[in-house]
Amino acid sequence: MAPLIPQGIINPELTLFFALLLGIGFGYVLEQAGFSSAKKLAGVFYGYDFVVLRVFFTAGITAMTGILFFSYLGWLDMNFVFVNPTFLYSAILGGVIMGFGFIMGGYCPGTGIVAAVTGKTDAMVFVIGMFIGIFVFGHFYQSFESIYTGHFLGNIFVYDSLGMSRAWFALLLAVVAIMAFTITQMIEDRINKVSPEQIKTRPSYMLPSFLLVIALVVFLFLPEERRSNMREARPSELLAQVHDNEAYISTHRVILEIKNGRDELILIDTREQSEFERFTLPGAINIRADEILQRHWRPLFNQDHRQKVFFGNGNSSAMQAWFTAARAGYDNVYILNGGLNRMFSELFVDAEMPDTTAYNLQDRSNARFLYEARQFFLEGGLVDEQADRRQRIKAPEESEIIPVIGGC
Amino acid sequence: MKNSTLNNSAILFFTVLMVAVIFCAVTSRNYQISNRATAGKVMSDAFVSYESLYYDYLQNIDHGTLLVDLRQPAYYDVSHLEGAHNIPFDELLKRNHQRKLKKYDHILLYADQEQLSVAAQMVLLGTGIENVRVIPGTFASIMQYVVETFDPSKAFYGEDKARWDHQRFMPIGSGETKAQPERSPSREIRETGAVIGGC
Repeated sequence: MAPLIPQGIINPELTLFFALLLGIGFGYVLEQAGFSSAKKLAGVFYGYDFVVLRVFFTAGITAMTGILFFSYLGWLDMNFVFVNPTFLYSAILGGVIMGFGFIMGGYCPGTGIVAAVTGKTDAMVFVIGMFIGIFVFGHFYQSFESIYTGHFLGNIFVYDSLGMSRAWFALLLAVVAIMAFTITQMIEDRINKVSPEQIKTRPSYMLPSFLLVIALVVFLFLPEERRSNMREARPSELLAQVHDNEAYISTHRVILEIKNGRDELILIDTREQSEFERFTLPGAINIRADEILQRHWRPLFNQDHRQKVFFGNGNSSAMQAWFTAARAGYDNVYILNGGLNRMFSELFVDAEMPDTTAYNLQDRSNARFLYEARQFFLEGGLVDEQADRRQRIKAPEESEIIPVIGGC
Repeated sequence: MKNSTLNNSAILFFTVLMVAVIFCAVTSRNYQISNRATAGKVMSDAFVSYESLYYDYLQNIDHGTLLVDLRQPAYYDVSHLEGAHNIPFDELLKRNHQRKLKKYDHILLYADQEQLSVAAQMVLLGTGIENVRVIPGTFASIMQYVVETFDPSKAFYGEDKARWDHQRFMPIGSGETKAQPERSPSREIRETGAVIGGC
């Protein structure tokens, strides 16, 4: 489902509109948390106010818990979520510069703008300084480039670097955050000389912390990804379908469709791409078994009224594809019985002349049908008219991944 | 923010997550491996070659390996590979068979149609039996090319290999040149655009 824009649920043209809404929301939260005051922000360095740490840590672990569960439940596709790549040198240097700027100016960039908007003169000077910095960096970018792009580590995750599992790292981070909240509160109280009576009347945050830990402990016991969902077919149903030969479509049916140029079947070539490029049946598209579950094929398989026919050289690759599609709950999927090997031997290799002497009328009509089809194909019946008679099935284009880079 | 608002939203968030997790657990099918993982696994390592079958399995019978004959018992009784265990295709999910299969490190399947072994492999992978591979071909071809006399020219035999030069029989495309079919549109990936923000 989410993220909403790359998945096409929200029109991409509205990106900037939503950026504005989110920006206003973010600014509002920063202002309400008291972050338009340099005194409050710098308090974290002097020990009298740790609200910055608490707000950002809370936001971080709440978002983390949400993302972990949402991606497990299939509500959020992590493939579409942009992971900020790590450039080690610029991360270290940028961190140092930002720290200095923070302690000197009393603001970080986002809070600087919030404070400037609320009319704080020092913040306006800070924002001007920020723009001078941006200008200098942009103007002398080429001198900085080697540092800026130095030591590229890719899209790495902390838990991978530490060699931990994602779930354990999340739990550990939440516990560290809760401990940090407690300890910083104690430091704050000592520096501000808060009386024990006041501490007693303070609201307790036990319940949210407790629920957070419970949720992450539950997450420890969940598998890496969901093994199945309610749309999927049961193993026993699939087994029965294969056993009762319900999964097959005959070569004659497919030959008839190709010869008459109709579009009732969706032909899906399950062979390797190199084989597909050399030859495929007219109008076929190439989807291998491991590509079937890709999201952009979903509309194709959801056309319930059309029969989707998998074919390979034999039956095996088609069976792999069929099984994957049928397990995913797609209806009306079939295997071309015998694949291209059988189709071509029936059509071109096995019988040279129609057996007009056969006693059984069905056999005679089959032989006649195959004979006509053979003549049609051998004479290049598909060559000229192919472009007109078959509309090639188009896959929807791969959704754009719109990386949104942000941070504070 | 009032403390009660914080507590209530925390309870709401927690409840939604837990209800969703429980719903998922209740509605899930009996699979131990996800469909995506199963498809990826069979694409990478589904078959054992006749060469490997002959030298690694049939020559030195290893007790960690189980040969499974998926045909009906009547055919199995007539002849089967030495040491093979009969589990008819439609009985694969029976509990006693599953229990037996879980004891082995390697399982090799064969049937009278290659695709039945492939389907059986995918069923078993789904139920969590991971070390399953398929002997390509049919029982008859295994007997002919491996058991009776090992035929090195069939060392990498498979039913899924092209037997004919398709383009010769069924010319497709326009003009005299052999037209290449269009590339699958699935592989066209548009360039990604970046929106850079920050605070």
